[in-house]
Amino acid sequence: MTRLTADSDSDRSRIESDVCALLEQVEDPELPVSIIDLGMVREVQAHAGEAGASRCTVDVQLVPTFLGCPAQLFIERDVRQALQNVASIAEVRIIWVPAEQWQLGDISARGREALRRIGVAIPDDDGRARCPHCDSDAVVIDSEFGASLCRRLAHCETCGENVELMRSRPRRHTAPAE
Amino acid sequence: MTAPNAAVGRGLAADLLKMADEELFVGHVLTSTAGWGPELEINLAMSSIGQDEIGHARVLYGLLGDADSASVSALVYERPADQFHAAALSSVYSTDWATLVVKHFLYETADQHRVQLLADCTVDQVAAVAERVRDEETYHLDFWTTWFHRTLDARQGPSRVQSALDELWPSGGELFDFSTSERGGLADPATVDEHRQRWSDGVAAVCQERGLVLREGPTIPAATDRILDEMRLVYKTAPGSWK
Repeated sequence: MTRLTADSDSDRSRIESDVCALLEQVEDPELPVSIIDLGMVREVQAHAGEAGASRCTVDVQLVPTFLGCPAQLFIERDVRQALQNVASIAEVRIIWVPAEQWQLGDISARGREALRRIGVAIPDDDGRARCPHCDSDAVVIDSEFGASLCRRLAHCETCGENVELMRSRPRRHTAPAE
Repeated sequence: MTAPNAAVGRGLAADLLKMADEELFVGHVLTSTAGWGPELEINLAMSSIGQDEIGHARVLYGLLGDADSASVSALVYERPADQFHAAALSSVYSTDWATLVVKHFLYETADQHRVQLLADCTVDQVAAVAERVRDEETYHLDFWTTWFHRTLDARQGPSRVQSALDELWPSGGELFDFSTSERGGLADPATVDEHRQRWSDGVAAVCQERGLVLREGPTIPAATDRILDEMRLVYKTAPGSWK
């Protein structure tokens, strides 16, 4: 869920809403889902410009799906491009927050539907998923590692189609071996 | 050049740099050698794990000063080779499956402890990223532990794994060669030694269970120059073009 700052005045609040609306046009480079629907946009905050200035600085805080995700540079570029024509913004600062976790629950319902349409399913907390093609629950994981860090390979035993499963942090920790 | 992070003292910075360099080398070698595994899914896993490790290196480099791409890239592509202090194990290059499996089994089991040291660090920024790194490392440990055991189950497994252990085990402890407390490093020497010992005991227990022997022997040299030459080839071809 993207946080909007609570203490902004109405102008900054409006800018923040406008920015969020524009970020809904910024898609992940590999998936037809916006970075908002993927849950990557943690916070948008507009700061007043210098005294007397009418334009503001906007901080966009982003969370990487995986620390090694190579899409980060492309997403930065696309965010800047999406916001470059907003007259009231003097400067955009993009801040990646690697300390924050990204997990599958951060994907919106709209994002889930967009993923389902391209054959990507999202497992529940127990790791089970429904086939995005035929809705069967007979989805079998073939490999923990898939075409990108956020996807694993699977297939459906019922219809035989390939299925990709979204992937995020594992639910359990392994303590250092004693 | 990046301005140093005021929250990170000299000793801690040296330790973070060492860890970042090790993650970078492990990641680079994995992405270079993905393709030499025995089957397709293993090669996919190697390139994914390599990507993760490079991402971890990036986050660790980012703790040292400015975290923007240009500053982090300068640390990787422009720092003189003699300023890299990665443990030799991290730079082991091999297309031999048993060597790869042993390298990564030793590295990932050690990393469990090293990331714990990050998590326990008194500097908040450092501890904050540790949880995230640890979660991603869980997949790596699962994968390499599984394949360590599966490789041992193969007919040639025990003898080839033993050979690789004989070559690599003596250099494993270097992964815990962090700063002394006088320079204010990642942790005090007693804590580091405790983790080194627990790691060593853990590896010994697994080896005993599988009929393997841990032997003393010579340490291996680091392959820093080879890795940097490979990594920097394209960057050097057109300097200034990659900003």
